[in-house]
Amino acid sequence: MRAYLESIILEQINRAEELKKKIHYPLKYPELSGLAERCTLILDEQINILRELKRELQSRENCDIRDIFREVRLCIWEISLLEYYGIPPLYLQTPDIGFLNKLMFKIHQEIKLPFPPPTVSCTSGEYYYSHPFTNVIFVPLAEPEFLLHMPDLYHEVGHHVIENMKSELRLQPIKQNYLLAFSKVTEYYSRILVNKRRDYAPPEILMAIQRIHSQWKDWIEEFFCDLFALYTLGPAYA
Amino acid sequence: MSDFGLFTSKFRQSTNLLRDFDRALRYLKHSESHGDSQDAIPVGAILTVLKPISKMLEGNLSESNSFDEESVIEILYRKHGKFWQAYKERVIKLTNELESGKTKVSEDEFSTLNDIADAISIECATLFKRIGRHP
Repeated sequence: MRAYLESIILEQINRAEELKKKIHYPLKYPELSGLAERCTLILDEQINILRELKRELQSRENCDIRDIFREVRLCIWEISLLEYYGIPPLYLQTPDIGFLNKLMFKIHQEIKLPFPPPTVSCTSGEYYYSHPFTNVIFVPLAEPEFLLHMPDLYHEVGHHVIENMKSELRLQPIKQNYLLAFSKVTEYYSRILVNKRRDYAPPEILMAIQRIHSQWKDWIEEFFCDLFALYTLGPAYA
Repeated sequence: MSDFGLFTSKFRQSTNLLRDFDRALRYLKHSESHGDSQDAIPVGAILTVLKPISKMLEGNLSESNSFDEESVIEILYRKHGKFWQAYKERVIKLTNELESGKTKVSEDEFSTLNDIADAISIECATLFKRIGRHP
């Protein structure tokens, strides 16, 4: 197992190095420099972690490498996600990508976001979506030619607000209210749970309540993003 | 945002959590093998994971928004099968002890924590596969 892990670590270090070569400098569009820097930083971080794990592996017995195995898997996933959702716009740098990123830069200035603007890539296979790890918003190929779906960009920016609120002090009021909203949801379902327990409800009902509460964890983010788009853009989003 | 966005968001949160948890476990391992003082154990990273799990194991809802503790508990339940009740009690007891300032972790408790980390890793793998199936 140790030999297997060691060869995987070496392979992944090489993969990360190769991905760095796919970023073509000088960049055609300066708006992509944030993404280029982010990808390079993450790849370098993964390379360092993998090298450290390789060293750590030498001092471990075969039966004592569960944590190293997990960490190597994390590195593989993160390198893969960069390959799929971070490097492509930097590798392609098409005029459409250039146009959309100039547009995003203007939006970013207009709504005064207190963190670097997300990158936009028109390589989506499924309408609009965001990748918070790489900080890229994906839109369909022909999207630069149309206007009507553009308000959805603001919804996607909302996801980046949530991602950044954990570390950006200027977003603390948003973070506090977001957590408050979820605590109210928890309070509500806790009350229902207590009442159902008091009524000796079958365990399936209690499980269903727990499941519904858990679903809110995902959907509260979507509601927040819709509200963010509505407040920043107004009727065009509604 | 599509389901894809939900999965990437959950994946990101779970991987960050797992990385911090594993670092704390490695720190524990190092300080034990080198006989260092354990005063500075990064208990915070361990409790961030243990507290919501324990809360759910005790039948309450957790306000934690950092990972899907329900899925993690399901994975642990499948692994421990008929010994589930004993395992569940061990997790709750360990959480309470760490919360009240315990700084030493036995070999058995270390294994309990490793099982939880494995379960989060399995949850991350499931989310990663879902992201990968995206067109």
